[in-house]
Amino acid sequence: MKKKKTWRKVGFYICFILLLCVFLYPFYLVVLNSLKTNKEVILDALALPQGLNFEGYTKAFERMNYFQSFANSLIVTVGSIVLIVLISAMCAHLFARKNWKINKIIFMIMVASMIIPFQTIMIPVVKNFSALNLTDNLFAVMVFYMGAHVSMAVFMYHGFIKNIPFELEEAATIDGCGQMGILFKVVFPMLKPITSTIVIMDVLAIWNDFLLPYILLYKDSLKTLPLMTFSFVGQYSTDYSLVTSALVLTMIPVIILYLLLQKQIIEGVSQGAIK
Amino acid sequence: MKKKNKALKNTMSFLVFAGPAVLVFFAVILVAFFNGIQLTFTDWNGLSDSYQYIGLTNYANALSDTAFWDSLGRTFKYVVCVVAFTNIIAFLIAFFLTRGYKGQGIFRVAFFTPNLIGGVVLGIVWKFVFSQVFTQIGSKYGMALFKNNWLSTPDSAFIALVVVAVWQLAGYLMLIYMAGIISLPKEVQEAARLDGAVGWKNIRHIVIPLIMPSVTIAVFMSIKTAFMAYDVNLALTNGGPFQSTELVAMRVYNEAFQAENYGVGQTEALILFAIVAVISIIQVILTKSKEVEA
Amino acid sequence: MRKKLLSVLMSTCMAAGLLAGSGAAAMTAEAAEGEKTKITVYLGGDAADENQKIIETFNEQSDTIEAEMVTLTEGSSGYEMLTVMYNAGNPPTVYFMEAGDVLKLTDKLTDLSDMECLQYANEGTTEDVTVDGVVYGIPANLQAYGIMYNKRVLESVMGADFDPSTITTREEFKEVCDKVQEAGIAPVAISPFDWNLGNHWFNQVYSGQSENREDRDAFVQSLREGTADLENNEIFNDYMDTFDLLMEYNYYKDNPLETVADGNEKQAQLMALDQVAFWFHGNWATANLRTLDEEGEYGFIPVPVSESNPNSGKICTLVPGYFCVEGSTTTEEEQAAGKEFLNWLINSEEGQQYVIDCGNIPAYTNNEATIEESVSQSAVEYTNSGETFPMYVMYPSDHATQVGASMQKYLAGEIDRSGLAQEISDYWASQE
Repeated sequence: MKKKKTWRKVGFYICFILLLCVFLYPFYLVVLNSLKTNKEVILDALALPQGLNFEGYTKAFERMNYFQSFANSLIVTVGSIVLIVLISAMCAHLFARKNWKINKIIFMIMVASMIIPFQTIMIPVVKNFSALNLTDNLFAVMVFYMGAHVSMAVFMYHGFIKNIPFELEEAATIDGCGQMGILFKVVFPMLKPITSTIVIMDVLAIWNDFLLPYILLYKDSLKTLPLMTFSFVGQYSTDYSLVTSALVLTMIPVIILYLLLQKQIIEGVSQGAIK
Repeated sequence: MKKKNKALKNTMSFLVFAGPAVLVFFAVILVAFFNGIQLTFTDWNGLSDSYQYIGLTNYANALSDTAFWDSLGRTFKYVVCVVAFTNIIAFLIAFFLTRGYKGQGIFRVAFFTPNLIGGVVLGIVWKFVFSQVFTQIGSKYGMALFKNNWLSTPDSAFIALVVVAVWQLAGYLMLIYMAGIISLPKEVQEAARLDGAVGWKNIRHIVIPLIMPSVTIAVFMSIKTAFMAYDVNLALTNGGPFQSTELVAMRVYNEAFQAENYGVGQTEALILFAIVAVISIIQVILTKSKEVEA
Repeated sequence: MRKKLLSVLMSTCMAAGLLAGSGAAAMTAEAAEGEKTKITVYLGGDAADENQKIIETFNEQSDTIEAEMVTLTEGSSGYEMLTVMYNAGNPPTVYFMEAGDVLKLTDKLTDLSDMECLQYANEGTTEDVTVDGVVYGIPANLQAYGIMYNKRVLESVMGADFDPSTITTREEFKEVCDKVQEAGIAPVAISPFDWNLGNHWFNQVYSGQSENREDRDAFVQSLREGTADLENNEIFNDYMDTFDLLMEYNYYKDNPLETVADGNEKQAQLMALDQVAFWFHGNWATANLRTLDEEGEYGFIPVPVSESNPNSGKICTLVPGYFCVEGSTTTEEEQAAGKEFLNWLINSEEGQQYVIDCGNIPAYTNNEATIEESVSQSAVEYTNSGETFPMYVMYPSDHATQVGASMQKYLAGEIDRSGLAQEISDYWASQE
């Protein structure tokens, strides 16, 4: 019996370590080749680099306008998420606490809208944003993300707030707090777990989004990181040293964040998916 | 008087609290959605400010656009493959990672990694792997599997798309399944073991029926993701060779922005929406009906 | 520790959010700075480094104008993104477009007929973008394509000097290919990309119909109307006979679309590493060749066809694109700045060198930069002796993807010649 268990354990580790290697192999290849010269990559992509060559990195860094596009991504992601969290929590609180007909109707519409795929609204979005002269404008991109992500956030906050006993808020009312005061002093602090779930899900979605910035941002100085990577790789597709370096540069911020916050991220995503 | 005051107060608090979220949601999503429906009846060309209403011409064109229906058929095939493989693989990984072996946390973290990175970047990564690395492996070791570049023939390029999608999505679904399995009551598992339900029997008759809620979510998510696949499609094959791997999302984009048939493109997008909505609803009803109370 | 990090992160988020809210206007990248006229420029082409450099040089030299580079990578012409940008009321001030696309946008462009540099433009390079005597674009540069050869391989195989003028017919070409093959080298590389097969190869079928411009237009018109019999067209069959020959000697004969998802680099690699002797391609591939082989000598031979074919013995030249100045959303000041930029680009020493550095051939006779590149030299020899024919460029913007896809199917053996003729006829007939 004991022996069988040991064998099972060994089997598990062998299978999973193999699987892990297969899973991570593409990343290994990209990092490996980013340290070679283009000629080395073309002649043998599997071989170890003959010497460490960081030229690809410096050149890609410079040509991609890395800081700029990184900052653009950061501004868009952070800005839209802060606003999403704020306005959705406020909205959800009202929806959860006031049983008005209009609240119910709008809530239903929001929930139903979550099934609309981006492609269905892509063309009118381009048309409308263009008509309002809102292309090449990071703030407009943020506004789109707010519109696209509030319904999910409202839905999640709504469910969470429903489970918070109303008595707490009543007590605060007796203490003389206004509606705003209740929200910020009493409710918000309790929303922390669900907020981190929403933030994590939206960070992944917005940071990595491609199609929307692709159709709304054209100037190099405004491009987000994934967009810049795509156009950069399009221009330098034949220089593999540069391409792989650019890929590493693009992936590294997220990977670092992941290593630091892996538990929260995994937890947040699991919660987000189930809700 | 008092009543009126209350109504005013309620309106104010609605405007203050729900106002911003509702406004931005309506302005961005709903307006665009209905505008999109309106556009399907026009001949808007993407450039001019004016357009004419042309009735159902766009619908007629969309119905007779064989490239669209071809891509839709291809997308169905793609969705079936991706949904089946990802869910099976994700479930198996989740099952073994909840057995209490040491180090499962590390595996979980590693398998999830591809989900942190956008589809376009992953597409470029895999394109490099398929066309530079695999072909070199093929010629170096004479492996028949990698003799040809996978992106060079319609069938193998399609498989490449599926491989990348499964690779990316499996880690995500794994988390859903793990959450489901972890929440299973210990007693049920214990009782099942005593009844002799071990190994495959255990999975088939105890675990899966009990985690049907997770299955509902995981299948729903994978269907929606697979139907809307664009980023990887663009970066990996860009629809080639000869448009044989053009999935429907890309078809819609190209019809609108490349062939400059905005009306037809929008109509096709709407048809796509209807199809996805119907399929998602059917799927949720089907799997929900299989859920049992634990 | 992690919790702390999360909270720090969250508060940074908050701070940035506030900044974002208040600084929305500053985010449109048009922050006021100096008094220079700002223009945006899309230069086209693949030479991203050179593009960047020339814009920087211009900004250093100009006291009155500041140019910002715009890059578009979608499609081969960028036209698709341009429509989106137009639709957004936000197109670049100066941009690069293919001739066919220029004609579609004439109502939005500035009249460039009075540009000083036009007097130096090579003959026949502005006709395609002239409507009712108004010139809407100035040629950016010239490119040439034909069958590129690797002199080193040919001389080692034949053991003698190689004279490109010895190959003009299919029979002569076949003879040389057989010799190369006997030496254990695959004779030909074919780039299986849709733009290469659809636009560059198949365009020869249009341009070969006649030396006369009107007749070529008439032929394409008959394709649109569905009255042309492509399958039995003499020139179509002439070119497809040659294509069959290339396919026969193709390095990737077993899987012709092997590199379809890549760029040019695989074919360039075959060429530079002496694994093939010929490659149907153009001078723009020089940069790819040179990363692997700095010394080798390359040049062009004409695509071998029947002697009765008007294109026989000639290589194809094209103006890959024209520089246009936006005229519908820009101010007059910006338009003037755009023109000044273009005059500088064509006439200044740096601008003339830029054309050469990009691996292109100058489209202006006043360009004094010296050409050291053997590929370009070979192309210039053909241009100087008049042994060139102009590429037919009046095709719709999805021509490359559609006709290219049909050619790919033919190359991969999915359809035969009559199937190819059918698909291409159907494509043209579906154009309005």
